[in-house]
Amino acid sequence: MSSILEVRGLTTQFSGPKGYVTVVENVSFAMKPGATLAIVGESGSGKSVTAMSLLRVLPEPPARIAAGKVLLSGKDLLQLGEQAMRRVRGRDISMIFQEPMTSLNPVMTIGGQIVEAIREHRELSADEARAEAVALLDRVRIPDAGHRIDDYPHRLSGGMRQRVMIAMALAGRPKILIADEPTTALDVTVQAQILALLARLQSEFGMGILLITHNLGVVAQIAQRVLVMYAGRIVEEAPVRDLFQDPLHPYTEGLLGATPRMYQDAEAGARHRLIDIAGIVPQPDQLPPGCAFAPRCPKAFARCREERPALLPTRDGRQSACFLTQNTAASA
Amino acid sequence: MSTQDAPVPAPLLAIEDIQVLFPVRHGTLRAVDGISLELQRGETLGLVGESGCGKSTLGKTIVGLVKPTRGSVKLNGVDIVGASRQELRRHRARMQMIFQDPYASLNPRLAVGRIIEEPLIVHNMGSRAERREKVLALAQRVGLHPESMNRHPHEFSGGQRQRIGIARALALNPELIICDEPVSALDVSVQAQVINLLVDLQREHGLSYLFISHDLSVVQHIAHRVAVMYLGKIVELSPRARLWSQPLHPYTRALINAVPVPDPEQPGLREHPLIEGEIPSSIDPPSGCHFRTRCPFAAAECAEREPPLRNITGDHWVACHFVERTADGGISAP
Repeated sequence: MSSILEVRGLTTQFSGPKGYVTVVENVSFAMKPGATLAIVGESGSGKSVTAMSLLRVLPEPPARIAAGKVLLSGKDLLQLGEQAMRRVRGRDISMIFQEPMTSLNPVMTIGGQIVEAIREHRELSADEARAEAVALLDRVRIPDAGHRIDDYPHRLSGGMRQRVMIAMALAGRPKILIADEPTTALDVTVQAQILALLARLQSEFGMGILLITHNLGVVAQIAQRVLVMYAGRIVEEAPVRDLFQDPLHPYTEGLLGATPRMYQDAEAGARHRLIDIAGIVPQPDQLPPGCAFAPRCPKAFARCREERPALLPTRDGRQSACFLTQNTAASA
Repeated sequence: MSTQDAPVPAPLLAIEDIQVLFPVRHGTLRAVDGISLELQRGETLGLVGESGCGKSTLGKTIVGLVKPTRGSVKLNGVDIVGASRQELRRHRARMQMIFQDPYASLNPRLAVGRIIEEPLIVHNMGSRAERREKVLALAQRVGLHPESMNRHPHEFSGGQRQRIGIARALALNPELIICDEPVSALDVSVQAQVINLLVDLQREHGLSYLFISHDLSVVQHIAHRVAVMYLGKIVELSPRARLWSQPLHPYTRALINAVPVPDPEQPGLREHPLIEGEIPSSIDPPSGCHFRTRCPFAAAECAEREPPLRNITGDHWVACHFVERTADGGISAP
């Protein structure tokens, strides 16, 4: 199946006191229609900046996209003017965020905001747009949508606000939905509802989802492919099952080992020890010369500290940026 | 250390019928609504629940930061609710607290060495030199560089700040540490470092933890027993393995089912029934069983009568009208 979105060599920088600092470096990936691709990483990995770069919603300055292409049906979004870009946002690609309250207008009813989003992309009368808004609220399972449509955001719970955000994001019938930590601020029972909703809407609308998250559980539950980011770069790409069963990059391995697992602990009787990755994520302006993970990597050797491993194909359509996995692949 | 099969000595901490009510404009906020718990020496009791369930308020009540409307908090058999300031101070030395956001709990103007030393100064412990030595030992034990003791909190990462909070909590050799979401703000790799540190410190010092968290996976990892809270009440209390293998309360089951399991091979969210709705306000919560408005098994009885927390078997307690021991010794749950 062909890609709906292709990102090539995306590099994003922020200006700092000592010039530009690269926070996303040479990121490339492709999205398939109707599938979910997850970008997983800890804070400072560059996962959110990658997502925002695609839609060009970073404030420029201080941000600048220094290199790369974002190809939507062959058209490079990075070359579009702001006017054309505005038509892309919402109609081709929509985005939802962790905290819906920051994206909702507090002094406008939710219906008013959804109607606005609908009419920005489609020629509908006010009545038609309102009927469409009610239908959208229904589809995101807001009970009693016909009445709730006249509520203001502050009257809604966190979960309901996220549903409204999703309804607004769907108003332009986008091909791609970028979901940036969409359930991180929610309670776990509500998170489960929202994840189930996203999965259902994906099959109804056939859209691709780019899921940005720090939560490996969420990745395992809803993604088909996964990119693991560390310190601004992709360190591993794999189908979700392969990644969890057989992580190639030592950072991925560490992340999985650091994640508590209820079932494993319960079945083992005694608790197992979590793997702790020593140290912390380096600041983007203080990256070591070689592999950014080398100072924390239990498997690092001399070459890792001098030379940066490129992201290269290993096997079964996977990629890894580690000399060890690349050697294994070569000798296999 | 196995606390599950040990004979039961007098508990280190026993709280009885704690209630914390806050008057608000349109009624009464029932933050903690009649909770009794015991904590043994060397034990970790996990307290898990979603936002607004009252778990943090309960933690603060135990250390004396919040005054309960009703109930007692006994540390080594002595009720410390209503104790004099002086008595309280003595008890506080044996009971410390660490917080979710260590930064907010560390004085930004003090050097870290001084922050860790502070409880020793307050409690008149040791000479200056002795205190200094103790601070260095503590710093080393929690994984902070002794040379960094002159730096200020803002110069440390989130994980290091949590280590500072832990070192400060350990300074007075407490018996009990109330951990209020201690790893919730941390990245998973750093979270694992702090969890492992807490586990090691428990083993070395025989510490007891009340570990409060919204994250069932973390609680299931670290706790020996787990109490599940919903709207100010405990709905289930059980040894950790049992809570996983045989959860009895419909809310506990919903909570377990809702956790996204970090393994694509395990049954996932798609296979589990989800509960509808969100947590109601703890201002005038539902009558009877607080969970009934979201419970798929709720019946008329649930609105009329509040289910008490009952012992079902062994260490397993549950507050649901429909959980029963069967004639053949099994348990039937809705």
